[in-house]
Amino acid sequence: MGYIDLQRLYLSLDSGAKIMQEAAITKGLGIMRWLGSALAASVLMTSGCTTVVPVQTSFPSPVVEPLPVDVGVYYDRAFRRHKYRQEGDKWIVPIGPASVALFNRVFAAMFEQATPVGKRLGALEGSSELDALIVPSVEDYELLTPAESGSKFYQVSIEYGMRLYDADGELIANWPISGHGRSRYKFLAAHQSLAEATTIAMRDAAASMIINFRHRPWVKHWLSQVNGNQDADNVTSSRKAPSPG
Amino acid sequence: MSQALAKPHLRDNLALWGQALCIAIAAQALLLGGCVTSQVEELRQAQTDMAAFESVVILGRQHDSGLQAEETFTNCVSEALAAGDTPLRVYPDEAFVDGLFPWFEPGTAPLKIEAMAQLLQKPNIAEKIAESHVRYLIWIDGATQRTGDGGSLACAASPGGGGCIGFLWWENNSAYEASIWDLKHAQSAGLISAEASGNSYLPALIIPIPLIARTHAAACDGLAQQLKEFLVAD
Repeated sequence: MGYIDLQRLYLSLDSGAKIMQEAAITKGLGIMRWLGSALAASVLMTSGCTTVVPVQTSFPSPVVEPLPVDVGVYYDRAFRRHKYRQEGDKWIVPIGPASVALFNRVFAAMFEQATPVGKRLGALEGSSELDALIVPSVEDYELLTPAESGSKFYQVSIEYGMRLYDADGELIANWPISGHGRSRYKFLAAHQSLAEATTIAMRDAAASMIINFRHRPWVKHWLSQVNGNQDADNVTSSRKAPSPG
Repeated sequence: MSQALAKPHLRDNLALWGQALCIAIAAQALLLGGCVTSQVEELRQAQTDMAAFESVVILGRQHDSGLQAEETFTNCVSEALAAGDTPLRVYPDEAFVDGLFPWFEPGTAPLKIEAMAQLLQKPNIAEKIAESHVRYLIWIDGATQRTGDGGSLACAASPGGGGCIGFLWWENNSAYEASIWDLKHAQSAGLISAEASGNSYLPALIIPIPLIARTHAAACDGLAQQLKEFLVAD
């Protein structure tokens, strides 16, 4: 109910009747106060200023049984500092820091041990502690505004690329994970809506990673190589337990 | 001389009376509202009971194909359940979703009770839910939508003053459904639907006077009241 489509409002600024109607419906504010807000919004929209979207960097710890492997995680500079810039620089979405925070949580829960490493190539050489290295990347980020979609939502799609290397630095597999998020438009707080949609999309991608990873055939194969012939659906943290006898 | 002094005095009085009249009209408009027609229906599938330490959690459906209930609506229902003569314990929705990440995200949340039953078979999830003492999970689906509008209104402003003239109307429909899942027995306890519709009006003769039909609030009140009766009346 609390909704005024700012883009529509901007485009139809000359349509006074519609605008008045929306103002009265949604907020019940006095007309003059509303006109002041609309004027301010119009000025903001036409001034071409850039807004940095405040994407949150705190994420919950996933509820999942860890797989009995120790992995290294390498976030390269491009990943850590990744920013989405909309054409015209209206929105800047700092995806990198939030993604690092998210995957730190995700990998720490998914694997028995997840250790951030400082370099990718040769990172595992001579190290008997790590079974594999994961290197995530941001492949794509798309944003759809309410004005573009004709809906009441900001919509975000994000795609990450995941590469898994074995202890010798050989690529075991690479696969994409994607997530979608949408958040209802908030009057004079579009940046918050966009931040929420981005967070939802990132969490959706992480959810896909957490739930589906252990069911991929090559993961099962890889785990059986690392841990002997155990079923990936059932293995948990048993690898480090002392074997009988 | 005395007439000259009296004229500004009279003007001041008239201005004061004019302001008082405007305030009175605005206050009356706030007290009035458009008419709202609401309807609540219930379908019970299982008996319900709640221990004093048990709680409910209200979650808005957010899957892509759905309407996605407004956060204001789910908050309204949560607050209404936690208030009144027989308040229920309401577990914070964000804490519930975060505590069970990633199993209640828009793309992974169970859409049917069978999927929820499967989820409850995972020991770590069952343990988390047991720790939270959440007995009933209530999914809210639906939205408030504009179903019609008309009229016209024009406003003008000048250094000497301003005003509006015209008449607008619009019709809103708030339709929501609550699915109640019993997490203790992994079964659906029932469905409650609430629908409210009404016309709002905005007549303007210098000052616009909004007469708002609060369908959103009516649907929230109706749904929360029925939920309370559903959960504790038996």
